[in-house]
Amino acid sequence: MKKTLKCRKGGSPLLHSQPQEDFFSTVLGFFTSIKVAVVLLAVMTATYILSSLVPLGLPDSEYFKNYPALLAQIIVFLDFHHFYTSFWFIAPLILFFVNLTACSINRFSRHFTFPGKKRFGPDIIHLGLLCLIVAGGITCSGHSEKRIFLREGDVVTLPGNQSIHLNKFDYLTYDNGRDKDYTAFVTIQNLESSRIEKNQIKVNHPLMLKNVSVYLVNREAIARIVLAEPGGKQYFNYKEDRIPFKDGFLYFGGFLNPDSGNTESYTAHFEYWKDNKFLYSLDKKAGETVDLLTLLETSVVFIPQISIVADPVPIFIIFSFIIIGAGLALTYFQKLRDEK
Amino acid sequence: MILSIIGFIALIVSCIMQIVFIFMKSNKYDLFSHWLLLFAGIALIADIVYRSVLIEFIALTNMYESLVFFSAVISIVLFTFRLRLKEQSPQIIIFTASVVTVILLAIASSPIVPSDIMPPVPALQSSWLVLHISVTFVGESFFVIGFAAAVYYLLTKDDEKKKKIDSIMYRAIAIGYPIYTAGALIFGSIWAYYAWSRFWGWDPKEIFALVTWLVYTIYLHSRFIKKLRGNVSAMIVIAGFLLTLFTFFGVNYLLSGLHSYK
Repeated sequence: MKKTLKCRKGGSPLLHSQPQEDFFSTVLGFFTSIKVAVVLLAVMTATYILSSLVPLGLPDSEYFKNYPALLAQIIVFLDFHHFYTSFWFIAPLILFFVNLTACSINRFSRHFTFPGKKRFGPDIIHLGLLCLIVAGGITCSGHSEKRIFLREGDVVTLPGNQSIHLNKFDYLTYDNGRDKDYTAFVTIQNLESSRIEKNQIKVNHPLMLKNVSVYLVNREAIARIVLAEPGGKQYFNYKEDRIPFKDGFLYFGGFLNPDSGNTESYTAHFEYWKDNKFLYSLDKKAGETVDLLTLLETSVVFIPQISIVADPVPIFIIFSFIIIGAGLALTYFQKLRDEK
Repeated sequence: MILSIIGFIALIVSCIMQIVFIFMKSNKYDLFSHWLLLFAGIALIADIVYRSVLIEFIALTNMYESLVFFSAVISIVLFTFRLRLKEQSPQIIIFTASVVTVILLAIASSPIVPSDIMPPVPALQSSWLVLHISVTFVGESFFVIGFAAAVYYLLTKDDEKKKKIDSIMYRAIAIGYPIYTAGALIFGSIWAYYAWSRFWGWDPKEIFALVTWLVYTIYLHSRFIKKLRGNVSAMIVIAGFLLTLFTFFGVNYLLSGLHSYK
């Protein structure tokens, strides 16, 4: 079959079979058009700006409460409050992906069909962007993240038959009270082989394990008390802990006067519960007793918030970045060479 | 601080010299204004180095330091730009970009931008962050030249001149775009991955960095469409620069997100 070159107005030259002036080539021609690419980029730009102006993910009623009725109706009707799963985000992105794929195939075919200067830089950038969109899509569907606060001594099971045990949390501040550094000292245990490994996690330095990464993302101040049994055995308890007490439990609700500054004068608030029924409350200071237990110490300590992340394709995203970077560099140096 | 003031004064003197030669309609005898730009850039970088020594980290972690660094990079880029193009470089473009730099430094010295020397919080102690911010500003400094060229393009009626300005505008964006892509989007994503466990989170700052990139992408592609060449292209470049500024200032003050550190 004889091949000819067809040039679309505003589009790229398109190789196709002459007798088949059909729907397929019209659609392909449409998608290789640079005008379509520019329109899609403009649509994406506009919708992204709009998405940043609307608070996302709130219940419908919140929009009717905070915005004029008509605007709220538009937001809810268009599903703009769930922008990143809505038609307005997904449709332009899919069309852009198709457009970029068609353009890339078209450009590559031109390089191999026609003589002349070959500029592979933009093609490599396009290829990298395609990889990035695919990797982003996979990450979106397979990414799981769980954020928890760990207290010294806590053990949490991780994916991949592993567990993490927080041994110690170091928290440093500058003279003006701002956070300087925090480090979580942990023990990772492989539950199959019983292999134990000691590690530390810092902000910006996650712990990369098999199938999972553990991040230190934040820290929080929490009320802590030390209780002692008559025999002298001591227990650390934190806010919202349930402490076995008589036939029920004591719920530690925190301090009544946490802003008093002096940790010695904090008043710990307890609630006694039995058979899921609240019976009475107790407010105690350090040195006082709660039945047979003695409240030895009241303090506010910092505990780390860790994020347990399972991401199927971080390496693909890095790979896409490398391709895009290589494409940008090649484009740049080709241009520079041409100018010389 | 004293180094920033020296840099600021050098920039203002350079602007005054430039405006004199613009009125004289020749830059043949303007032998110093671009050297003053270089001097200003060096003084501002020296201020950043001084602050870095004090906080024991690269001082690019607050608005004041970012503005000083950005101004320094623009000054140095303008100097090299002038040196490369010699007499051919339209004085008005360099002057407009210099004025933008003066405005940025004026904002840095205003009370809305605290200049206290503050060591960074843990999330900001990352070499990826330093790469992200510094490379982004290098890219954006070329956008300043692109913006100055776009404004001049729209105000010029002479077709020959327009052609020359268009070429400067395109070159500025073509150089700035890959640098911005690497700095803002690639290095930024990698930092986000190490700090917040995901490459991209649709944070307002991230959205506007992407939007800025999309607008410059539209500009680079619009040059292949006849109808969009010329004035429309220039307006896209202006829109891109305004978005750059909004990403830098507007998002910090108007939209809260992960990029707001106290």
